Amino acid sequence: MNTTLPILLIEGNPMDVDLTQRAFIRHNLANPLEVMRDGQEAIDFVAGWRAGDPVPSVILLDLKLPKICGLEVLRVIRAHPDIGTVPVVVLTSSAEDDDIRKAYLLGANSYIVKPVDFEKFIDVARQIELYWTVLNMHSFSKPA
Amino acid sequence: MQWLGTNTDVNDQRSEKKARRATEKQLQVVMESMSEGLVISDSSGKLLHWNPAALRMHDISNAEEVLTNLRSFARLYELSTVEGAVLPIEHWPLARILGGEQLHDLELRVRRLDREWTRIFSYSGAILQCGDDKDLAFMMIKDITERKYAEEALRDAKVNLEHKVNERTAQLVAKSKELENFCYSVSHDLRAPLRGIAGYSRLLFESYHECLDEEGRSFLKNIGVATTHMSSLIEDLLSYSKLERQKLSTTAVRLSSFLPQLLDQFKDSIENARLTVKVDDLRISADPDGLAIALRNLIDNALKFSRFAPEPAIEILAQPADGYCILSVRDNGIGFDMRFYHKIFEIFQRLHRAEDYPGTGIGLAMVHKAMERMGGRVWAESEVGGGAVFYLELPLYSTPTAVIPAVSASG
Repeated sequence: MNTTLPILLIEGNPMDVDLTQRAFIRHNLANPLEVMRDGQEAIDFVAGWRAGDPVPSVILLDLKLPKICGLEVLRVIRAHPDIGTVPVVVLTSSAEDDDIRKAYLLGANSYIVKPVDFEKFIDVARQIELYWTVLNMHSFSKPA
Repeated sequence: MQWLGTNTDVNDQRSEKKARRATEKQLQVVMESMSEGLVISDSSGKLLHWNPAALRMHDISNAEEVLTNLRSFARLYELSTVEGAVLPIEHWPLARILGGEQLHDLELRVRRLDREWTRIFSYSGAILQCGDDKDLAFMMIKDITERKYAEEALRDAKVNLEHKVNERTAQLVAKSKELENFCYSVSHDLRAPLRGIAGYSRLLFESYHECLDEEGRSFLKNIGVATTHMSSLIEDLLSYSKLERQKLSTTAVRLSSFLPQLLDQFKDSIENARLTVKVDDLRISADPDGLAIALRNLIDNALKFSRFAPEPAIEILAQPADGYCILSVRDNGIGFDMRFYHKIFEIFQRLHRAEDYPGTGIGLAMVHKAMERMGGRVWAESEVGGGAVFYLELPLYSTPTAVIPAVSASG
């Protein structure tokens, strides 16, 4: 169980950040939501991570990010010996076949298109939380 | 015997001479009337004879001027290859013939140095043994300047045209790619702010609806309706642009299995209508996704525009016609005025009020685009109040004969 590990949200659009936070808050989520606003910040986080630092239970990654694009961030995450095992869920506006294919080739665990409708968005947040922080086994999690 | 013999010899010689003279006379007539130039030289290169055509071609008016050997010729003329490489005198056609070569249509540029003209001649010739063991070089010359220039002009025009076509095609491809990308990024980028509007109006309604009166709440409701409509517009535009960019590949589509599968998606919405499907076991040549897009939009429309009919009825037929299959989707709905026919397949064109018949105005444009991409046709007939019928025409699938042996050979 990873219920206290943070969820890392890498999202460039401030409104989407706020809406995602609100969508997660609806479920009184146990896992804190940490936010990174651009690709550079995300890559710096990966590069600066040291053994013993908290590991996210899941990374929610937008593809359209300022400075460095999401696919590049994904490549850097996957190249890291420790953080590289964290599940990455691509959460983006793009439903392009090409983006989906590239994301999976780079090792994304899931690909979700952000719904326009807020109700559906809340539902997406609920399912992400349930699946990736409660049901899913993490490489860092120690069996209870 | 001796005398007789001599007498016979003399007679023979005489008649032989006579015959030879007659032949020479005939030959001369032929040579003089030929349109090709003819030049004869002896084996040392001494020019013995020019026919009138040869003189004309070389711009020699006075027979007295006639040049007697190649060297003297070289002072007045320059010969070069068609491409323009100047030839030394040893490579001139007559020199080559004298060297023992047989020439056949050797094309060269000939420039007259003192008169500044250049023409293109074609040379043929060989050494022939003529009586008395004399070897003579015969050289035939044809003036092919006009033909050559015409060929060159044609070739240039072709190259130019090809170049221009390539250039234009590249421009058009770039332009259309740009437009497609524009359409895609605009629709795509509109999603993010729309999510903001949808999200916050929803949050406003949920958290503050008690602070709002009935009118305020109806405003929020309208924002919701508008965002939903805009969202479907964006989705339709994205599908439309995807249809433009996607590579369609035609295969054999068996209508008797394809249509039931497709209609299965409509089973809830089609409940209220009487549906007739008459499709023989036809195989057509189409891209399954493209065909599905076209039919789905036509069925959607048929359902939408017939839903207020007393007994909505939709009929789907497929009929072979001259190597093609004509699929038709007929409804008994409100129909449309044929005066507006030219508009119906254009994107964002609507013939009915949005509150009565909601839609994005992209459906029929998608049908048109899909048919265009598959190399088919779409057209329609209707009258106001009399329902509408839409026709899709696609080629019937014919097994390529060459494929059969290849398949059995590999199997």
